[in-house]
Formats: sequence, C-alpha cells, structure tokens
Amino acid sequence: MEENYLIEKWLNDGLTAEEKLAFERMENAEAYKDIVQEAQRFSASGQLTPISFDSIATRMAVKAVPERLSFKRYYKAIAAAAIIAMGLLWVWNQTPITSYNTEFGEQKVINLPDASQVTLNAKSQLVFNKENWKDERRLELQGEAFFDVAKGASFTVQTPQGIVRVLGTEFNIKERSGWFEVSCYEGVVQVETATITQKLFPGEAFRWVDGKSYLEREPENTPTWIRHFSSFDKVPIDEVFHEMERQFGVNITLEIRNPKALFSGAFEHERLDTALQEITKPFNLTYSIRTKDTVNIHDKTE
Amino acid sequence: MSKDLHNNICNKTVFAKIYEAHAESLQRFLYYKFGPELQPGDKAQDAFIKLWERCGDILPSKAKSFLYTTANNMMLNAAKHRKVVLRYQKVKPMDYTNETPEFILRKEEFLVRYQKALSQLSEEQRTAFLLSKVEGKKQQEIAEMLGVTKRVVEYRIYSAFKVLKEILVEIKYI
Repeated sequence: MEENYLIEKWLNDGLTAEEKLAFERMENAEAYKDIVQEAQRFSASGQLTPISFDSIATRMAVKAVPERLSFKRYYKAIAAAAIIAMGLLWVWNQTPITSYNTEFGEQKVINLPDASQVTLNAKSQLVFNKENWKDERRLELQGEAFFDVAKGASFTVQTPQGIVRVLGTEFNIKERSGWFEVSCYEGVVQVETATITQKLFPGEAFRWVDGKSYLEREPENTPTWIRHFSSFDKVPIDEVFHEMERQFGVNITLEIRNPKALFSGAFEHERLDTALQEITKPFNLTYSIRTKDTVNIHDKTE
Repeated sequence: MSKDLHNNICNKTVFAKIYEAHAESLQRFLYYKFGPELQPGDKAQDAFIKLWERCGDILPSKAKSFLYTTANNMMLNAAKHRKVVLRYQKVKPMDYTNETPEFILRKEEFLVRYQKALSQLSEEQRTAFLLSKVEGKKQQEIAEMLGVTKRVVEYRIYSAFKVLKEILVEIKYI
C-alpha cells in the first residue's frame, strides 16, 4: 500500500519532504518520472490548427441581429398562418387520443374508460384511444406501469420491445432501454417479443435483457414501487442506478470497476441519501452528492 | 457573493474576451479526450456559436461550464467507442544528452508503446492525466472543466498512471 499511496500523492503534487525522500528511494522512481516527462510528447501543441476569433466572427454576424419583422409587410401571411393553425387545432381536438406522462419521481393513477386502472411509474408515458375503447382495448406504453384490468374484450399493451395481451388480470410491465420485464399477479398474460411468445401465470415474471429471455419467480402480490420502494432480484447495479435516477430526478455517474455486478435488494423512494447507502454499502462503493441533482458513485479506495 | 458585472455576454467585446480566454484550452481538451480525427477546432467553435445564440440567457460566470458541456455533448455521439490515437513528437538527436543510436531506437519503441497505452485508457482517465501532466492544469481547474469533483480528478489521474506504469515500466528495464 505504501507505494501506491506515495504514487498517488506524487501525481497530485502532495508529497511532504519526508515522503518525497521515500518516493525517490523506490525502485522505479526514475521510470515513473520518465512516464510523466514523456507525456509531453503527446501534447496537442503543433497538432492543432489555430482557431482565431476572426474565423467565427462572420458566423456570429449572421446569427446576432434578428431582423425586425414589419407587421404591415407580413399581415397577409400572418392571417393565413392563423387560419391554418385554427384548422389544425380543430382537427387535433377531434382525435380522441389520450396521453399521460409522468415526470421524475412522479406516479399517476389513471382510470380507463372501463373499470380498469393503470398506475404509471416515474418518467413513463401511456397513450390510448378513447373512441373505440369498447371494441379494442389497446394502449401504448413507454416506461413502467402496473395494470389492474377489468374483465372484458381483449386487452393489449404495446411497448417498443414487445406486446402483452391479457383477459382480466393484474400485471406489471417494465420497459426501459435494453430491459423488458413483465410480472403477472393474477390471471394469465401472454408476452410477445420479436422472437418469443410466453404465457405467464400468477407468481411468474418474464425478463428480456439484451436479447436473452428469462423466466423468473415473482414473490410479491403487487409491484413494490406502488408502495414507494423499488426492489430488485439479481439486477446489474447500473440498471439499479438508472431506476434511482428516475425516482429521484437526479443524474448519476458511475466510476466503478464492475457496473454489471448483480444486486438483490431494495431502496425506498423517500430520501436520496438513504437509498444511495442501501445500494453502495453491499458493493463497497462510496458516493458524493455534488450538486442538488448530480451524484457520483465510485469505488472505495484502499 | 460576487456579482456579474455584465449581465449578459451579447456584447461582442465581452464575447471576444471569453473567446480569447477559453477557445484554445477547449480545443485542447477535446483533442485529448476524443483524438485528432473529429476536428476538435471546429467543434470548439460550434460550441462558441451555441453560446452566442444563447448569450442572453447565460451569465458570464456560467459561460465556461456551458462551453465545456456543450462541446463535450456534441462530440459524444460521434466519438462513442472510438479508439483514440494521439500523435507524438518524434525523438530528435539532442533531445537527450546520453543519446546513442540504440538509445534513440529504444526511446522510439517506448513511445510507440506509450501511444498504445494511451489508447487503452478510458477517455476519462486519458483526459484527466494529460490535462494535468501535459497542460499543467490544476486538479481543481480540471474538475471544473469536466464537471466532477477534485477527488474524482485525482482518482482518474492515479488510475490512468497505474495502467501506464503496468504497460511501460517493465518494458523499459528489461
């Protein structure tokens, strides 16, 4: 440890006089100094074309002074644009498309035209058509949601990664980049991806990660996020931190050796620092909250 | 608390001052991070144009971090997973007092290994290490450029050096 400690302090110009002597006595001290010295040869000097201010001044002139619009000159065009806009607005109002969005850390309960209910997790979107709801219960989802479906005609949820079809049941869909997971709590669900069709019974979950599918146990009766905590079963920690970003509306950067280590456990949505501790401790990681909404995760240094 | 003297940078003289202060350093930063192939000079200037377009909303004190973030983001997509190879200055006679033909040959070999080693570093490690050891920037300043803490910069420099010494030290003393 001694040697690494000295090297780190030397690199950061922090050696005391005594430590300096110890550093000089190290077997490879000269070689180390050489590495830093020779780095100079990779300097950008001489490799770059100079960029003078004059060379962008012309580009600035174009952008800088917005031309004054004369109303007199353009009133016909403005009138025409207004008429078109009103027309578009009318057409828009005619389309019975309803869409719901949630922001970071937000959840929404949505009552569908029948007795079905959807709970939307943070940073997600749900779109459906009110008009022909009776004939075709069809929704589009991006993100994560819990569905409590009333009995009736077929009920289909379309996501960018696959389709889920059901007849009256309770299930959860988690669709995040590179991650597609469907858990069944009641009834029967059918999941269809580009390559696989899988039926799910209560207590089962289907997971589709980076092109591989897994059938897992689902031990809960409802998804835990409804009760304001997120739980994971053998999930890579980088994905766990993504979920944390969505729940707390923060930006998390990882500087860790093994972002794919598997995490089993949970974090609460109440306090960011408690949640961070819950994940970082078991992996011997530390975190620093830099500003209100940026967090850095790194390995503990010895 | 310090107060911004001019509340915007839309004034061309103020803007030119900001340009003189940061343009070259921004260009070098992009070079170390993403290599020579992606026109670091053009990207640096594009970032300044973005700043100019939004000069009304950005305080002078925030201009620097806006420039680094913008330039960095513009490069990111193009640069993902690229291998960065930085060029080095060739060894010239008179660079060293004890030069012999063998010595120069060995040195040249060493630099080729060095070049490969630099490409093996992560872009975070390489940028922090070169800004510190070649540009002579203070850790605090690098931290501001990268938008991370000083501690993170220190760790990146150290982990970069660890990789370099792994590859370079034993080669030199065989």
